[in-house]
Amino acid sequence: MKKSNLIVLIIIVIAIGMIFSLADNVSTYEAFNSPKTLSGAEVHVVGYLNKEKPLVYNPETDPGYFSFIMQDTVGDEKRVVYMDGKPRDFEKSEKLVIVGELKDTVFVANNILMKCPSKYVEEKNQNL
Amino acid sequence: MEFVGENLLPGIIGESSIIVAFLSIIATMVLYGIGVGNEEKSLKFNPIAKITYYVHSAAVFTTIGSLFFIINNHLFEYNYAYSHTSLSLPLIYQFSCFWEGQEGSVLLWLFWQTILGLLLIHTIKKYKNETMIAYGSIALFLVSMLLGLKIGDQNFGLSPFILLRETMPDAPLFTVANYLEQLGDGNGLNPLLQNYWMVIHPPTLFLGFAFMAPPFAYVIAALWRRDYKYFIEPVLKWTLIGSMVLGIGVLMGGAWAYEALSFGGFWAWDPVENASIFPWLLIVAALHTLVVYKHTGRSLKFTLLLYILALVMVVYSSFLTRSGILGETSVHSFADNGLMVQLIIFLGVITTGAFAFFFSRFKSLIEVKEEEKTNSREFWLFVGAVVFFLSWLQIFFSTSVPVINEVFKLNIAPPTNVIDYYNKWQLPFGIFMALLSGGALFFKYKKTEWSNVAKKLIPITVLAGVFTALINIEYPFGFSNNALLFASLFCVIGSAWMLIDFARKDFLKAGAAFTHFGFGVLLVGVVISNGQKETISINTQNIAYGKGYDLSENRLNTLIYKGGKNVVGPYLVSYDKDSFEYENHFYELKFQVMDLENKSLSEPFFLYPYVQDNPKFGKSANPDTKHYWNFDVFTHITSAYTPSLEKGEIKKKYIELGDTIYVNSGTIILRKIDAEPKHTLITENDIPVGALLEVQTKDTVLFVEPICLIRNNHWHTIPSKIENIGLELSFSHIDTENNKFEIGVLEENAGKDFIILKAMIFPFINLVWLGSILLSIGFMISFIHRVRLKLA
Repeated sequence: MKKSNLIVLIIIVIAIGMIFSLADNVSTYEAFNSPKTLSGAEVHVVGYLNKEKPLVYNPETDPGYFSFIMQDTVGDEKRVVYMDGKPRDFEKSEKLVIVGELKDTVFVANNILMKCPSKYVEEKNQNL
Repeated sequence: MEFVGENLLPGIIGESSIIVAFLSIIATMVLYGIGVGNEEKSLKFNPIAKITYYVHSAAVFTTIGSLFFIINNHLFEYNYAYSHTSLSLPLIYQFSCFWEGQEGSVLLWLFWQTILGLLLIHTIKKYKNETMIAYGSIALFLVSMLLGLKIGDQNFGLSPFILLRETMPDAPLFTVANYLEQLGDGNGLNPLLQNYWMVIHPPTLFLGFAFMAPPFAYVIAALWRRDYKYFIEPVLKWTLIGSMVLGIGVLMGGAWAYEALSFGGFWAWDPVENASIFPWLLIVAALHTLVVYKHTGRSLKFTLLLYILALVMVVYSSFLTRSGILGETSVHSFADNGLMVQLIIFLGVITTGAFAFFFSRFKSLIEVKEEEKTNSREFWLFVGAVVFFLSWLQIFFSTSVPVINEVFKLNIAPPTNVIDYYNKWQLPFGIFMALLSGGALFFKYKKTEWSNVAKKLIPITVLAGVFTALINIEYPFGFSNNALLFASLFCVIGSAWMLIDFARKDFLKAGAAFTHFGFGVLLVGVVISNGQKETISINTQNIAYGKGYDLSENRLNTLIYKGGKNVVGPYLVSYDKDSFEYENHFYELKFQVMDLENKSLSEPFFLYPYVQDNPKFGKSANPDTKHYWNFDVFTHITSAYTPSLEKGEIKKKYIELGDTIYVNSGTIILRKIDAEPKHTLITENDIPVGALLEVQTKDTVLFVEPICLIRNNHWHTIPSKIENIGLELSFSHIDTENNKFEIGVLEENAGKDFIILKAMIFPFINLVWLGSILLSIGFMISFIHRVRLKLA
């Protein structure tokens, strides 16, 4: 077969491979008690910080260990542990997305994404 | 109501200029349209079209001038000035403010588009009509994004000249005629953007995007007229400069991220970062296929396709960034502001129009009959372009997940480990790119004897292998990183060989070799600095957190008390002083290399990472980095605590039975609620409740029972004091609804101040910057060579 046709074929095969790879690697947004989360797979969980429950961060004992209680969008709560210290302005977060796995009764997060209130909008509205 | 002190003139001038710009670009396109394919009509109408384009340009510049006037004169009655600027901003940051917002950044892009358009209109030799129509369509859409019209429910564009009071007409402030006096200062520029990067990165990047339009316009005109020879030379020149500028713009973004963000690196595969690189990958691929087409007549279809895709990707990237579809998945993207529909129309029209031309002319695009030989330059250049195309495709699919979600009504999340996922795919692409960049130059067009090529490639392979092995002695890599390292070194050595060859004859012909050399250096820098980066702020305490998980690998932060020191990798780091400058809290860290053998410390160097606590934008940490020629020490403050300031304050908290409170001296656990506590201060009519608290310190465990009582309908508290640890605990209130108990803690020894620090070492990261500079110089050399050829 012509070389350029072969190359086009290879491109198509690789492109299909990309689509499968993407499908394989994307995560899903789950709740704490959904089957995928309970199976221990790596998932994203969206929710809110339970500001009434204590945040555990004792940097003088361990600057990395940080733990809090988070409530997911269906209302279930779970203790979340994050080993990279307490993110700045964590208490002010409006919404959280955590990425990680459930281990026993604790969710170990590798990454925390926070949505903080848009200060600029608030401030603007307060002044006027 | 008549408002006092408003200067409405600049806004009126600005909005009128936008309308003029809009109408004049339509007029330009129509006037050029009349003359398409008609020599006589062209002669008559083209000069008029040129003038309307000048009018359009003047209108664009006037709009920009008006907005700048508003910013420079602090006219806070205008929403844009209020939202993005403030009285105290120096002139240079006023430029940054100009493009901080959505509308301003569109104007910046339009500015460059207009300038390049003026250049284009004076340099096009053939098919000026068709080219300018294609080029004008982009300007048309850009201007339409600034119109600020409302048709029914739909917004068309956002005007930069909206007045503040028009954005919130019901706010109480505007019931007063002289609200301007009460308004005070504007919101100011986000402090994260108050640096020189914000002054240079956006203009360079948008200029790069603008450069994708002239080649696109030429390609559309060529397809329109079915004439595929004339555009080669001009497009080649545009492509060289465009690749250089866009490449520099993207790399500036990386340098900025490395210097100012605390994530530690220069590329995070953030959706907006990815979007900015889409056009670059495609235009570089197009550059190579164009060169093949020029020399052999092959790859015409692929070339035309790549130029069309490059510009379509510029529009798509704008769509991703500006429509709000990325949501919170990126640090860059603007929030949704109603532009979604308009951006979709922009994208749809440009894409369908361009592809309509392409597919309708498809059959007329000649192909060279015989197959190219494998031992020819054109074959390998083609393969290289394919690799760039695939690299783009993978990033494109993955970054478009939010769009896929929107279109197919799914809810998929991005990959959990984004960096690993992209690196997994891009690493093999990088290997191919590097090998081809190093090797393709040794092939001649049409045919080269394999023995000739082998004579050069084999020694280069051996050398690359040797250097890879040598580097592994100091920096051991795994298999895939070694493969990339080898390929990058192959590229460096191969290009260097070519360069030396050229330097003897005519250096200006060495553009390609120079660029590839820079690319190879860049890649070596990427492999080493990324593959061997090391977090040195490891916390070595061994605390078990329970069965089921081992968290020991993740302790990447270390604590240093103020006035104290700690071991951070090879350094002894001391923290003695901190200082304030406006809202920036600087922490002075003294680094000394520990010489364990001789038990001595080296001369110190100081780093000053800082935390900015901005009342409007919250806290942000800014790193400070020590640069050596062969590595960087990167540090930032994860968090800082000042318990010494809190001495003497009671901290109160509502807790439940069994909950724990952490204090400096230890932990406190609420064990029991006692309905019949005994204390000498309790009288007959009181209703007392006791809280049995278990206090655990380093040395002891003891129990105290502070009491809360209701006397004459008032809450009272009888605290318990623990003298030897300077702790006073009180029980002050009961929340009967939620079964919560308010416990108060008063510590006399509040503890020492401390910081939580993260520090990383990036070996040979300077190669990344060096490679970037060499890469850019290479493009420039090629460009100059082409221009010189034409003039000669």
